[in-house]
Amino acid sequence: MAGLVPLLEIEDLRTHFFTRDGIVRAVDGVSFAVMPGETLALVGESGCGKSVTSLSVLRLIASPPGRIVDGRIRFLGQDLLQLPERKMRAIRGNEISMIFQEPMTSLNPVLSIGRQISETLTLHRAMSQRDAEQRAVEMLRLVGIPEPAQRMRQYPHEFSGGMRQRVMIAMALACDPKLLIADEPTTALDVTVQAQILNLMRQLKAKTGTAIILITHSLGLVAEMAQRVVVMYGGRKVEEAPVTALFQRPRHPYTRALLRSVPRLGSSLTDRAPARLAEIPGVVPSLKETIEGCIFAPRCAHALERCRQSYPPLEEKTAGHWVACWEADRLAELPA
Amino acid sequence: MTRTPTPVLEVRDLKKHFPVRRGLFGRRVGTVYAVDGISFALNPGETLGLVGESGCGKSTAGKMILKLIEPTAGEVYLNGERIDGLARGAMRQRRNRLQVVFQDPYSSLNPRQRAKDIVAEPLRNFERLAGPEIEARVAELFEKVGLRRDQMVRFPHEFSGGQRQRLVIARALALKPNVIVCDEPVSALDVSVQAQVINLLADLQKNFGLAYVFIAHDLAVVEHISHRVAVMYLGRIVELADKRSLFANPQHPYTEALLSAVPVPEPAAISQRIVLQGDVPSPISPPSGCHFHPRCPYAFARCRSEPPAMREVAPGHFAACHLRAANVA
Repeated sequence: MAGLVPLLEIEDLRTHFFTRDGIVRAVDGVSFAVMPGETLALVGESGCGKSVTSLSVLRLIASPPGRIVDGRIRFLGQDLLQLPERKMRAIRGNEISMIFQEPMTSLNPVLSIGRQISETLTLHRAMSQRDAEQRAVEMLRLVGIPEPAQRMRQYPHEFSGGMRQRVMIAMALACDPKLLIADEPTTALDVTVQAQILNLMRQLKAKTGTAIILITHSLGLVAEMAQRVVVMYGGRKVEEAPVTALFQRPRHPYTRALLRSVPRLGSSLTDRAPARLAEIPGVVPSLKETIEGCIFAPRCAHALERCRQSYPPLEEKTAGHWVACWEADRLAELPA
Repeated sequence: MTRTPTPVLEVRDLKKHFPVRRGLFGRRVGTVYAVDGISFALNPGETLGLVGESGCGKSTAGKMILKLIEPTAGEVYLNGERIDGLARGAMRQRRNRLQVVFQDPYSSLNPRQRAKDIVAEPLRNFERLAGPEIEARVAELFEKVGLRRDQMVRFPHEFSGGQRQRLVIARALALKPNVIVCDEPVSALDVSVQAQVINLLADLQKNFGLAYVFIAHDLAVVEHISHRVAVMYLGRIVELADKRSLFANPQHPYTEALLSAVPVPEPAAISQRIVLQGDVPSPISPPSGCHFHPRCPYAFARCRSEPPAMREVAPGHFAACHLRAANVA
């Protein structure tokens, strides 16, 4: 996207874990950018490196065993990986904040909700306790918690799962962050509650203009929330595209297979509903071995000799649509 | 339905109420109405999907069918025979017909047992076979579920999540059951592996005429695998129908909202969504009348006072909603 300055730019990020059993290359050379105000989805299965990527951005990788061994993460012109810890603290929860999957474990059970929200404000915004509390009430109202002033004095266990996730969102947005990282924000919630939270996130985004990195394994969520998508597999980015392009013309065989392997709601209504789901044979690769060639090749139905020998470079096939596959052009001719 | 084979499994007005106790003497202060009167029948070779959100009682229903917990009231019939009152020994004789696959394959497998012993255990317990015969049967079962023979000596931790679930399925198949209760069998698996296990379950059903009670929260998965679907809300079945009829034409407002809440992997398809307000109420003090009325966009006076009965709104399509009753009457 020419002309626009990215808010966040990740370049060749490598985060490895040095375990007793060997080096796990959880993230191995990932690059992408987030534009101001956009929602970028990071999608992939467990172990693909999507969460490690986001934790690397906030420098929350437990060390040891983990370490960011290479790369640059530029946020508003500064490289986050070069900042001293003190400056990094001023960014966490302030300019970049995060929502995790399990709201119960991310809230402190012995502090009242109000205290937890106002804490970020007194710390980052140097607000007085009274101002911070006022702002906390406002935030709770914003995320749709009824009787916010009373709820402020309550503790996390007094809230339902959906309400806790609203509290997390209120806390994350209290300091008007420029970037919100949402790691599987609705995975622990029921579908009807998920619909409420997604609605809320959409409304708040329209109001505040916060850019979002949405980390998820759900293709439904991606289609619904994101403008652009990065597909990860085995610690690498295999495809990046605007959301409609990704769903209409997936170019990487992994993305194509993934889209065909999930059952669709309403599948029984069309007569040509397939009796079987498309399977991806095999399992997600272990990231301990050094990988020669394309990381998806062992499970790929279209892999050729070249795929097993050298890793395909990322190539831009159409505007903004990048794919790392030697056979992408050949596959483009095949029906989806 | 015109053809009425003897159901392999039938439950009638099944209930499970858990007491809530508090204080030193365990005074009973309330009741959790986990399952509050559900009825359905499962035909041979059929899959009945049981869906609903957490706390709706779907897993409790599964456990009662398996006799892992005793129902408070109601009847369970397995192959035409009533089993809910049976003593342990008598139930043991019938266990071979009724098996289970749980969500987390790792916690369902003994980590210190080798894979072949895990699969052989039901054979050793129920069938008097010699060692080599057992070995041969286990090898056969491994093949059926798509595991390799050389994996028989491995331990559970040496398998991936999907393979472990195959192992659990092999064990469930060992005694040639005709009913398997599957409680969230694929929700712990990665998307790409999920498809493998779903296809396996479908193949096994075709080859061995198995009937499944398929308990899950993922509506798209349930739609794919089921023949009929029952939707549960706070301990009751609110709608039960042929899957096509249910997904094309949901009759209960809860089913309607549930279906519209599922994100669909098509960017253009963000339709008008029915967003329900609030959370699922506590099953300790469920709302009066229709349990769904506080969240229902169409609720009227009668819904608050009188629980709606299940009615057949179209052939084979049952719903418990006063709204539909008004239309039909």
